[in-house]
Amino acid sequence: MSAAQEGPSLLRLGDRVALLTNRRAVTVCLVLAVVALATVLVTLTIGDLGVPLTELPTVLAGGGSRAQEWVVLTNRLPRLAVGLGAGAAFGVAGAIFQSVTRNPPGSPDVIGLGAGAAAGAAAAGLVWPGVVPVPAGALVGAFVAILAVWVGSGRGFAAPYRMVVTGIAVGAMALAFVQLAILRATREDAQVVAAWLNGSLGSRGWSDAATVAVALVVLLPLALALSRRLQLVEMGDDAATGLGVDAGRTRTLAVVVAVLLTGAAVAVCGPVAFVALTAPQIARRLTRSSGPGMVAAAVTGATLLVLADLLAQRLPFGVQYPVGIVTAGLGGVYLAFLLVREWRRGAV
Amino acid sequence: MTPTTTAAGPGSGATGPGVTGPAAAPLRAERVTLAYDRTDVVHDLSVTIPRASFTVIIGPNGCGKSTLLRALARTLRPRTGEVLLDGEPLTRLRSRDVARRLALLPQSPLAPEAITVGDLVARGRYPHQGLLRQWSAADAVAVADAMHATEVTELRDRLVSTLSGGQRQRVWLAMALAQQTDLLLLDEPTTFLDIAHQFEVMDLCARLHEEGRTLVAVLHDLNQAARYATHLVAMKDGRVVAEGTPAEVVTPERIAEIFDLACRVVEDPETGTPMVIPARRPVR
Repeated sequence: MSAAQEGPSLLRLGDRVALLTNRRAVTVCLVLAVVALATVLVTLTIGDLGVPLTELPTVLAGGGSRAQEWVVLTNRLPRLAVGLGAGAAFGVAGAIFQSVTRNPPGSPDVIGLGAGAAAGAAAAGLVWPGVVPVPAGALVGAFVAILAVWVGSGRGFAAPYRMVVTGIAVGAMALAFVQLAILRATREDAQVVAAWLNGSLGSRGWSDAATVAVALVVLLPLALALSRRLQLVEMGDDAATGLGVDAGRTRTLAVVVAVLLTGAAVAVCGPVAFVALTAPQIARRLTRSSGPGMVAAAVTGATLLVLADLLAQRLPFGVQYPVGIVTAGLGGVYLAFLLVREWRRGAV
Repeated sequence: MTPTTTAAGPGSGATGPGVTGPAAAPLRAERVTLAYDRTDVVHDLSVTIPRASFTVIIGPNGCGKSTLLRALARTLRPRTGEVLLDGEPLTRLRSRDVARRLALLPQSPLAPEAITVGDLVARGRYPHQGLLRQWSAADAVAVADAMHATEVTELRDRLVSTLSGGQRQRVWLAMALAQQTDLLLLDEPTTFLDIAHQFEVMDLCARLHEEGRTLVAVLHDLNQAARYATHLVAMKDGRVVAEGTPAEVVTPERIAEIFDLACRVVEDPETGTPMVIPARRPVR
């Protein structure tokens, strides 16, 4: 027989390693990386305090004026690093959740994970201050939320639709808890927490960047290792089992990875809305891929968040807005579009 | 094309001399109790799939035939009892190793969005691949062979979502074939297909059987089952009530017992296999 042996595109490293890749996805990731880099450069150079592009290498090498050094190295660069890292973490977490729930609206934002992390942070910061650090509270909150979803859906993570519905309920309860915490708090504390709850990259330092970087270094390889199995689980538990994949274990592992990523990202910049929802969807459409493309989702998320933050800083109303307000505004439109599409598909 | 209608009991067929009886069976359920949540669907059932047979499980709705198939394919874990693959309990084998010996076509798998036929069939190679070695020349050959056997090679670059039901079923079969297993389990492979596509899929299954594979299928259509099967397993209320060649199982008495249906059994004029003609009933 004459088989056209063209086969898939591969990334080869020696004889032992042959990774399946998608040429289009590689191109898309490179283009997005360029967009992200351009955004970084614009962010560093824009405005009264911005450093001209020509002087940037000198400042980065430590040869700028004190003011320039403060703007670039202390203020804007860590903020960008946190934005890129948290955006990537949100993107991957969203890709995992949308794959597990087989449902675009089944992202961490919609399913109550962001709200859970926020409630955890509010508990740690306002209700019982000093017991655990706020980031740890966010992580605990995310895990409590996902546990509630797991219990509430009755069949764990095996029933995607129930997961989404339960998640919406859990998210609502978590937000109620946040409101309660804010009402009980002093005015100053409440304002700080309220600002954080919008999701903001304002005044973030290198330690925040390090937090999210460590999370990515540990968790991104895990997500990559799980992505092929997740692809197969998307075809249904029986089909996955037939191919030798334990669907339940894959889901649980993937959810743990996604919760940790979300927790890390929320800890450093608050529950920035809808990046986790939109990034994987945009990535899937751009790459036309048939599975959760972890790298593409990460790059898209990173690009989206720094772009949105640039927009938030430059909105023409004289005030600097938290980035979460921009993503919530844009993402809300996108969520509505998604829901209408899903609804139409169900109705036809 | 016509399957053999001579007796092909357990142990006969491809097994060597002295290796007869249930121990030589490629797949065997031993006193399994199968349940969803808390309701037992199948209770204390034992069944042996003869090597190189085309075994078809029949029975009325809710008799547990799909449940039994799911247990044989390890997508449902028995509450008690064991399923043995070549004599080894499935629970003691790694799922990936099982997937190199036993493939499953589930009742309604979900085609991922925006996937091409070639990519979907290639997913059947997963159990043969590694974390870092995700593709090899052997994979390419297996995928090409599977697509050739199911005649979907020309569809390679089409999106699965644009295919007709019959084409789509052939693509899923190709994915299962790409696993290169001796055992192939099919859960109602002809449901939702029109009659021409039903026979197209059944002919394909018969050919796969003739090439030496052991096939186990759940079918609704008795006449198709009788025409294509070499071994029939008839179930009712979670028990096996009859087992044997179509000629042994498809008799008026047995059909009346299994389905509560009065009927005549005639010879299929095309194949000589038994064919069920339901008795005329007074119109209410």
